[in-house]
Amino acid sequence: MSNTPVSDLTAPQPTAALQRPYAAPARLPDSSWRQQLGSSLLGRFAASAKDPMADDEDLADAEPRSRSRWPVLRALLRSPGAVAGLGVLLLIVLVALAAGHLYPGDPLDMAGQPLLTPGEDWDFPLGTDALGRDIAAGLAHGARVSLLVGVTAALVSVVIGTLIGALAGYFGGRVDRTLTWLIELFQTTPSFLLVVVVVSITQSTIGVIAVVVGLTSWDTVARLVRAEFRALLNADFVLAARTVGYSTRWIIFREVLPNALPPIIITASVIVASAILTESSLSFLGVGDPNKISWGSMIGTGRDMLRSALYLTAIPGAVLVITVFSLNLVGDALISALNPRLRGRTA
Amino acid sequence: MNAVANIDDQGQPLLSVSNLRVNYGDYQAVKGISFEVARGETLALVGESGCGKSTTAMAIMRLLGGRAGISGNVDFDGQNLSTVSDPVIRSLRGNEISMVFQDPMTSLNPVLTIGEQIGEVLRRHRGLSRKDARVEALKLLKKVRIPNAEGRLDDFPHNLSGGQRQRVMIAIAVACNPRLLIADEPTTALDVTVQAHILQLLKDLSEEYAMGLLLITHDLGVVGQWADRVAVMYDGLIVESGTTEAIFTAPQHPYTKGLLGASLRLDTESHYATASLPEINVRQNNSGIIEFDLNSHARYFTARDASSGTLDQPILDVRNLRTEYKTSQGPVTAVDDVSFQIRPGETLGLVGESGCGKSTLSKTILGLIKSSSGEILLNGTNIAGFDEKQLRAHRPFVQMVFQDPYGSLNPKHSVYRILDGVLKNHGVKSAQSRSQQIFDIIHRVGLPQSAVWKYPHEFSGGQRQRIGVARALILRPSLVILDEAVSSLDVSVRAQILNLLADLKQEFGLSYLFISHDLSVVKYMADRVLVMHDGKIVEEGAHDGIWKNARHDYTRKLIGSVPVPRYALAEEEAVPYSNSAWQELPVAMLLSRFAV
Repeated sequence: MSNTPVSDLTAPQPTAALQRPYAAPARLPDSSWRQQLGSSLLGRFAASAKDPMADDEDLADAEPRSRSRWPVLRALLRSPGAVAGLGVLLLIVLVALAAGHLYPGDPLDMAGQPLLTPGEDWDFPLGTDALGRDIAAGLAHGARVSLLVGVTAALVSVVIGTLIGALAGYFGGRVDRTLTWLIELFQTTPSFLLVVVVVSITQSTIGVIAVVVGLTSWDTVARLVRAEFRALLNADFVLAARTVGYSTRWIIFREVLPNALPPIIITASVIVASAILTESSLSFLGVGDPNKISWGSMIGTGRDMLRSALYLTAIPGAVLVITVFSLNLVGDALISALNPRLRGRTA
Repeated sequence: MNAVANIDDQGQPLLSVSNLRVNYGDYQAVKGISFEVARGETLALVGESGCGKSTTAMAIMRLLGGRAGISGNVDFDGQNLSTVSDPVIRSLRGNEISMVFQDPMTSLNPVLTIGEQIGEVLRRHRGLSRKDARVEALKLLKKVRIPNAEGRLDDFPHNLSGGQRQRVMIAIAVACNPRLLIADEPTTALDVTVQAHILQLLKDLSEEYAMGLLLITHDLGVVGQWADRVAVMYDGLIVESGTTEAIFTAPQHPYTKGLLGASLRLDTESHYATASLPEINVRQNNSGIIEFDLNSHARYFTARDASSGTLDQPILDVRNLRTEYKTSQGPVTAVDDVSFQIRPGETLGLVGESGCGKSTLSKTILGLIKSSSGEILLNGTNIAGFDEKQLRAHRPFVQMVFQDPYGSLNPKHSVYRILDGVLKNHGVKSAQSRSQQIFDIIHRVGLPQSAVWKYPHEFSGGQRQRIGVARALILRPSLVILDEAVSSLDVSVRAQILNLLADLKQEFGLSYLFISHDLSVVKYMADRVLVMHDGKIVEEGAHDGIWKNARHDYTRKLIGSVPVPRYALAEEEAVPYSNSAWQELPVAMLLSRFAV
């Protein structure tokens, strides 16, 4: 028989276990430095004479500002991947905004000798294409179009998809069946064909293209959101929200939606990428906006000379890849930053 | 006792664990424990979640992943399990040593029939042919007393109830006549009436095959009724071990005393109105030594009995309530013609097993599920059939505390935001007033003020349940529905929450509808008790009488199934009471590690 003597317990214990509980006073820097400061400035009497409830009022004012201001942004900036991604995206946005100053004039105009390879002539550091158009200028101006299309399409599809998915998931029953039918309708229609048709019928301006691409890619978002909602609706905290008497709108947007965000964010960054690509396919097919240069149209025109002048497709292609990759990095980090549990871990 | 004789006969024990340590990096899960199990003996390893009892079992079987560092000796019948090669231990697992796990719902493969799953073990370990395995499987099913065993062979797991699935798991575990059976919380997921049968079965099998049984559990009632010897674990150490009789009649260690005091028994007269439950106070003194002491006090509430309050208007008056679910097989009546009343200041206990309709009843009262017929009079207003908008005005009067302290708090919101949202939704416009109420309620449920800025995952189970209580009470309801509110908590944490609920009841003048499957908890908390079975209220009685004079068969069966230790606890004098939330804080903090 093993009878561990009681005296074993009085032996010094490793303290690691005792430090684990969340409420170890060391975790509350505010109150402890307050008390320390208070007692050193006003003497022991002042610190101990303080009514505990008064101290709480004090904390009530001080804590939210020190602890919970921009926690998501802070967590985001702690992640190296997110910082790199944000840096690249910021650079691209700046270049897009400054394109008019950097490269005044129409980027579709002939600027120099055709087919200069990058580095050949330092007036055109990235070279020129078959018509003598400056590739660097094309990239800068094309960034405007590509980013506009990508971001608008993602916004449109996320807003519509989330709304439809949330309604279908939350209400279930007949609402769900109708909306699922609608989602399936969009899923089974080849979306690119739809875009081509709509763009051919209406005007092929960048704005129309962006919105139409968004309108044809919300189905993925809707499906994901619907599934997340169906799973989360059975969670006790949603029942608790109903017992407390929250309105439907509050439950959908404040209680459930924040928990359904991760797949939405990931899908959004994918939609940005695929919208940029869809726009390039449209330009390639010649139904894009003929008056605007975009990364996609640059890839499309360079494609003819893939073997003789690879850089014509490689450079805009690489920029596209880097942009999409940065978006993914930021999206990933955003998911961790939005989750209080993971946010704490990187702290 | 049988077990002791066995050790003498055989000279050496079946399983002998000495100085077993398990650590994950810097964290020590098991800190050097030693124990032995003899042939035919039942040793209970008791402790609360996170104490290392399951880790110990997994370490014996060498089932822990590569991250775990294990040292010490595990000697099984002359073989050192910690040094034998992988093929050898694999041949021992399921053959000489087998295991039964807690959750019978997930431990069976849903796409194989029962017969195939038992047969697989027989074919692999005993080399039987498919045909022989089927015959043998049938014998095993009969041995574990599954009704209509022939018919069950070709059934799939989803055709079986939880108890039957656990029987199948046991059949698989004993298929190869193991010499040691490790049962890790084998009945925790099951109803009381089923639990008694499963434990009886394990005991019989252990005697029949002279099989050592290592029973891992948190339930002292189970231990007291079924174990020969007990080892009490706390924080990776065995703090006390001995025969069940010795542990129950004369516990030495304060932690054991605390556990015994905090675990409610059906055969004692403890009631919330007269005494609080002892709370185990764990603290570390200046030199790093962990000290335990007990804290309990007498209460002087005026408990309501069934006759005294009949003149008051009831807070809640449920009349002929019926709730139906639509299923593909047609409507199922979950709540069937239920009527009861709750008067101001009363705690009405509602007991019943899983599936009896008690949760549906609570959801119907809260308007989360629509009733089919009947009336729900809340302060005289019939709220049955009200829609969400109409209910809003009545929400503040009835609130609920949920069972799962993990699922019932939105993981994305801080405690402040969780509580703030409730007040905002009920028209508290001033931010200052909301903040004041939030800090006040957090203080009253015994949490530090800094807790409001934290997120749910930063709390232990007991602390989360305090937040759940705070959310329910912040609107100052007059009736709180506690649906299995303490069922998923450890014994010592449960004692704290029950004490808190009893104190808050007095403080706020609350009425409770206390729903639980655990009769001993209901006995302690309730003034009046309803017994629910198959959607109907089968019996109603005062808290002290119903246990002795149950009229309905089902009530008697239920009471008979509750494990009651064979030994009575020596009377413990109440320690003088000091109730200041500020003094309770360190207790709450330190006890927080009881819950994972």
